[in-house]
Amino acid sequence: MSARELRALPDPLPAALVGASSVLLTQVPDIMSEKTVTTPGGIPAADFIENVDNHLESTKSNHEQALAKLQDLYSKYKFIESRLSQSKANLKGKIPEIKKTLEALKFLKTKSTGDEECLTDFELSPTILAKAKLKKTDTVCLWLGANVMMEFSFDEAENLLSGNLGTASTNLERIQEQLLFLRDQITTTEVNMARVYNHEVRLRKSGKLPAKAE
Amino acid sequence: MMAAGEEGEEKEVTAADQADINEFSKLNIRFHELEDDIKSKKDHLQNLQDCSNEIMMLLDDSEPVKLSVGEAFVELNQEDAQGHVDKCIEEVEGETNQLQAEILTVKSRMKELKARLTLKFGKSINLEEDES
Repeated sequence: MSARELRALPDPLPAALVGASSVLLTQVPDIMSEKTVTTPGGIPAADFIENVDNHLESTKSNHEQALAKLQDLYSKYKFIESRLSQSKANLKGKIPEIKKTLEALKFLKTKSTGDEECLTDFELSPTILAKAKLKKTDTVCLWLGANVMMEFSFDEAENLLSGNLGTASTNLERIQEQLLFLRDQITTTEVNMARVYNHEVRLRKSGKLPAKAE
Repeated sequence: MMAAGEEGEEKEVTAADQADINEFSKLNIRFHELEDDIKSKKDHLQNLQDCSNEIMMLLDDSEPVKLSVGEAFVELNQEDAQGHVDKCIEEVEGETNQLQAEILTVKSRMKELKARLTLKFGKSINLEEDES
């Protein structure tokens, strides 16, 4: 849906935007699902105003109304942006965590080929460490969330974790893409607002519009 | 982004200019992101290098060291620990170099865009740091 179409309709924008952002909201917490299909296209595009005069005429509005509309659009974009940024920060925190787990798993795997026992200090609770001897093992337990822990063989665990890492990375990429697209729309809207505003100032200066009553 | 122009004669913004402005805005954000990333990578690298030096400076070569793997510490002999740390250093160095290469391209592209936009709009455009 283009912004031009949106303008022609009475006020379809909020629904479209709220819809987009709620999809985005549900998208992030469960990085394991595949059903997320929001594209940058899910965010309505902002049209560049070629000519302010024509724009005002075609939308049958004065400067004030046009500005108000742009401002409205702008704050909606900003809202989506804050949501997306949050999701991005979430994922950016999650990815190192998965990597860390993978690293530990790989370490265990190399250890499991030797016969020697492995001495570790592990965290019992923050600031308390306990010693443990690791006997030769070929399984690990992964915390799946929702109070579930499951035992996996090394290879299974590695597959699962790499899969999660992959999904998290693709999600991050997608959010990044959406943010870039959104950035374009925000900048365009900013420039549009400035130009409509300047246009009005210029008209008033040249006397084509009466000076603003203070 | 743009100051309300003071001059009476104002240049019209074309779609191409808008595209340039958009690109500049995106690059600016990317630039700051890269700066942050590079900084944290460098800190990490510094830690790893300190770590590597510490291992080398240990007096007793047979004394095992504790290496943090995931959430726990694992006892390792110095040779293995050194190998592990060196591998990490290599990895982080590679990543840092990649980021640094990218920030250079971003920088030069920004300069290009800025030159073009300032040429056209002069003082009525402000492309300095004005957003987070």
